[in-house]
This record gives sequence, C-alpha cells and structure tokens, in this order.
Amino acid sequence: MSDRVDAPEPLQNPATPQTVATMHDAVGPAPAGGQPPTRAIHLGAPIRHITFREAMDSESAKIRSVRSTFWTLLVSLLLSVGISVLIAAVTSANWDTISPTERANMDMSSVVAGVYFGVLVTGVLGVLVVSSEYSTGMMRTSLTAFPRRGTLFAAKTLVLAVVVLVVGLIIAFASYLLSSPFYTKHGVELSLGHGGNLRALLAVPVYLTIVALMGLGLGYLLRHTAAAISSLVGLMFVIPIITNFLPGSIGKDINKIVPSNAGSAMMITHSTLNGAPPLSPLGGFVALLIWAAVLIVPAFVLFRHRDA
Amino acid sequence: MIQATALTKRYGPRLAVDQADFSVAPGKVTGFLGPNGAGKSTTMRMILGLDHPTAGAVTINGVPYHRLAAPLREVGALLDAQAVHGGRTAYNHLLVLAKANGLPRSRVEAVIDLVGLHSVARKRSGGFSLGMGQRLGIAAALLGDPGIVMFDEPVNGLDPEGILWIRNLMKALAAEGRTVFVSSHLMSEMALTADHLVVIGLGRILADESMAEFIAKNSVSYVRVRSPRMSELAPRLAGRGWRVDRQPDDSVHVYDAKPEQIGDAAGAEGMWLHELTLVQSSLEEAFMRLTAGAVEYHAGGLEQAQGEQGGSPQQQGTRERRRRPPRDAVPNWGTPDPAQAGTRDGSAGPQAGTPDAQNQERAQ
Repeated sequence: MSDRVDAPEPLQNPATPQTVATMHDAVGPAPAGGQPPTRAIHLGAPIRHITFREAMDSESAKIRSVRSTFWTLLVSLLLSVGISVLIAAVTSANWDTISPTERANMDMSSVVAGVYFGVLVTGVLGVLVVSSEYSTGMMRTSLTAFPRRGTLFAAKTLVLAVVVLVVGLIIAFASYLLSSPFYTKHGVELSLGHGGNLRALLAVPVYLTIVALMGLGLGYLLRHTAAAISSLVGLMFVIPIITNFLPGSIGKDINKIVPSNAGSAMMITHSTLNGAPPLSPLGGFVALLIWAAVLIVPAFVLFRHRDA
Repeated sequence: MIQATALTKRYGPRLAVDQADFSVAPGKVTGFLGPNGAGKSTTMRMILGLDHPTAGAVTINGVPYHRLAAPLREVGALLDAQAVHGGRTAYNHLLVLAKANGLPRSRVEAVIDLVGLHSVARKRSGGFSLGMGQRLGIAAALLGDPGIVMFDEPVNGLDPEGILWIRNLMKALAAEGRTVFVSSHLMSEMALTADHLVVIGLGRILADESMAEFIAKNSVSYVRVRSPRMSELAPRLAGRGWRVDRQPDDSVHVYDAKPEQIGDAAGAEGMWLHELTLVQSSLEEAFMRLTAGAVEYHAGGLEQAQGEQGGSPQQQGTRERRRRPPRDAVPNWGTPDPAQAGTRDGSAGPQAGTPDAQNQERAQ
C-alpha cells in the first residue's frame, strides 16, 4: 500500500554519450537480459548522401507499385486507340456521304482522334501520383524519407513524364497502325515521310505528357483527388466549350489556345479547327507548355513551403 | 540528440507550440507527455521538417532534418501508422522508402522479419488491422537502423500484446544507446517506459526532467480519516502540527502524517475511527495538476470557466480542479483520481480508482 509509483529501473546503457558515427556504425550493446529485438537489423554501411538518383529510384518504385498506374495507362491506351479506330472505321464506311471539304480536312489528327479522350486518363494519372499521396498521408512518410523537397518534386515529375511519354508513343503508333489504313484506302496521304505526318504523330506522346504534368500540378495545388480531377476536366473539356461561344475573332483566338486545341494544333498538318486555322504546331506546343508552367511553377513553390 | 530552441508554431491566431526548449538525449526513453491538442504532434512534425516552425529551430545531431545526409539512417519516425498508400503492399511500401535512402533490399526483409509481418508482406497494406499497420510503421522507422527513433502515440488502439511489444521494443532500442522519443497522453504508459519526461501543455513546455525528479516534485499523499466525532478529532489532529483539510463528505484529509500516527493519536484522545486510508496521488494526478490550466478541450462543466482566465493557470484553479479535474475532458485518461472517485457525485464509480487497484496496475 505504501509503495508508490516508481520510475522504471534505469536502463542499462553506456553512460557515455555516443557520437553519431558510432551510433550507426558500431553494433550497439545488447540490452542486459532478454533477447535484443533490434540487434539483427544493425546496418554497418557508411552513410551516403541522398541525391536525385535515390529520389528517382524511390519514385519509380512508387509509380510501379500501385495498381492505379497500370489501370489508368491501360484505359488511356484502349480509349485512345479504340476511339481512333472506331472513328476511322465509321468514316471509311460512310466515305461517300462525306463532303469534299470534310474529306480535305482528314489528316493525322483524324488518325489519332481518340487521343482527345485518352488524354484525360493520363491526366488523371498525373493527378493521382500526387493527390493519392496527400489523401493517404503517404506524402508525410515520403518527405520523412526524402526531405529535400525540390529534388523529390523534380524526380516525381520526371518519372511521370517518362512513363507517359513511353505509353504515349505506344498509343500513337498503335493508333496509326490500326486506323490509318481506313483513310489511306480513300487516298488520304498519311505516310510518315510525307509533310508533317511524323511530327504530327510524335506530337501525341508530347501532348499526353504535358497534360499529365498539368494534372500533377493540379494535384499539388489542390491536394485532393476529386477536386484536381474536376479541375482537369474543366480545363480540358469545359473551357473549350465556353470559349467556343465567345463571339468574333477574339473568341476564335482564345479558343485556339485552350489546352485541347493547342494540343490538336500539334497533331494537325492541314486541317482546320471548327473552320478556323489552328495555331502553328510550334505555337500549340508553346501554348501547352505555358499551361503546364502556370500550374507547375506555383505547385513547386507551394510544395516547398507548405506544411506537409 | 534532438535539440529544440525556442521552437514556435502558430496556426493563425492559435499558438500550437510556444517557445519550446528541450533536448532529447541518447540512451534513454524520453516521454513527451501532454493532453490532446497540447502540441505534441506538431512538435514532432517540426522535428521531421514536415511543418515549418514559425520561429525558433529544432536540430537533429546539430543540423535541421532536411540537411541530414540520409534521414532514415539517422531518424526513424512513426507519426501516423495510417500514413501509407493502402494500395501498395507492405513490402513495396518499405522498398519505396529504402530506395529513397539508398538502402538495400535486404534491409526491407530484415525489418519485415523484425516486426513479424512476414506472412502479410506481399499483401496491400490497405487491408491491415491497426496492429499490423502499427508494425508496418515501426518497420519503416527501423529501416535505416537509425540512432534516433520517434513514436507518436504508439500504443493508441493496440491490444495488450501489441502494447507490451512496443514497450519492450522502445526499452531495447534505448538500451542499445539510441535516442528514443515517444509521445503519449497517458501518464500511466509513460510511467512504465520513460526515463525522462518532457511535459507539454497548450504548446508550452511545463517540465523537462527525469522521471524520478518528476515523481519527487509532483506526488502528494495524505490520509483520509472518517470519524463520528470528527468535530472534536479534527482540531486535535491539527494541534499536532498536521495539515487537516475538511472535506464536504465529513471526512478529513490529513497531510504530513502516517496512518499509524493518526490512529495512535486518535486512540490516545479516546476517539474511534471509521476510516483511515492512505491515499497516494498517482502520477496521473500529478500530471493533471501540472497541465490543469493547459487542457485545450474541456468537456462542458459548470465551474470550468472560472479557473481558466488570467495569468498563471497552473497555480490558479488548482483547488477548483481538485473537485472537478480536467479528467472529464479526456475520457481516455487512464487511472482516475482516487481522491475523487468517491466524492465527485456521491457514487463511488468503478473501483479502478481505489488505491489498491492502482497498486495492481503499477505492479505490472
């Protein structure tokens, strides 16, 4: 009854404070009595400074180890290629009913028309690689393992870009192989050596990648999956509808620079956008880069300074 | 070694951490104790560089966290076991972290074995139970064989076996010479694991001392005496130089005297007693006294508005709170105050509050 709460027995440990180096390098003394549960894990290797390479290794392990990566890329591929082929087949089957103006408008952008939809799904992947880390709390764990935020941001961006670029190339050439025969048999010139056809086809992975990076930027800015995806849909699908309603040449000019039309401009060789000439391919590329920068630069600044 | 200097974090008008100075030394378990909302997690997030201090600084072995060469090799932290992507398997989660610090795959396997997650290592962590999630978090913390480990409320929600495992793990880590910094809102838990205490309340460091010092400073004991002839007995006990506090329920609390002395004195006066009980104030009570003015969320209580305004809340309102302790605010508080178990509303309540039950608890 009379004994009181006592402090636990002082733990047996070397009274001398160890230096940081020996703390890691030497195998610590086993606790007196009982089995030392952590002893087996002692790591002897010297500490190397973490660099961009470690961040890349970690980020690529991350993107490979969740199912959403596989599914979004697969859906984007099926959607892009499938819709491209579908449009090509329907166009070909109804060739006789198509007006000469419309026939003249057929070019590489028609061959890869499905990308107009598939781009949203790779954009969603861009959102998810960031927003899923915020929604699960994984971002805090990631930053604890790799606290150099600028480097981590760069690594994540690069890993996403490479993945989408590769899948985008597959989408581009799969679409070309499967849907171009429907057009060439009606005399549309689509050989890759001709005009801007190769450039227009290679614009597909570039377009997909830049939009995925826009998704990434939105993920950082909003840190919330649904909000970021909604914003991306708004940017890609809703804003073009609104700008379409703007009157006069100003309306047409603004309409040209929305992301989807800037992307189309890169894939067009001679067709028009709703009857108006699009931006030049380079102009479209620059416009898209500006869109991406407008999202990614603030995302970077916020990511570095915001509490995680 | 973790060193905080005037560490301050402000969220809008609220000071979450206010000029905190403390250090966490190697080779022992340092308990970071405070009520909910006291600033424990915020402080830990600042240590890890997740939150930026509004003012002041905190360093790990002399440098800010983000400057550490390979952070996981120096600090292992478990702040929130749920902070994992549930779609990733346990193995891949650890692999992602290992790669971020250039650690070999063999480390991933070693920590999986260490925490006993081998059978579920290839399962997605989203389906893990709380205990398994906690083990995964601990595996991540130990991945780099760090010299410093930090756990935020590690036993919350765990079953007794899990709690015991974590307690022993922390002691073993400290015995190996590592710095162990563990937060809790349960004094009873700290009493079993910590060698040193840093107590925080409303963002201020209220104590930074060894457990032994804390106990010596903060514990109080008294004898509860009940007698049918109390009106005669009380002045005579007081006459012997003991402090006698009359209680509303007709008992008295006698300080500075042993039960046998009081019994002898009563006998010598020809009085008889109906109760003679030694009441030890628990560490829990000491902790609550210390943080009495520093509990963020009080449950609604009629008297609470009183002791809270004005200057030094630690002293002011102490007497008030002896009748209505802030325990009401924190249902999970652990051992109830024995002095109040019977007096608060007349019903004795669960016997966990009696001194005997407390002793059993300590005996574990």
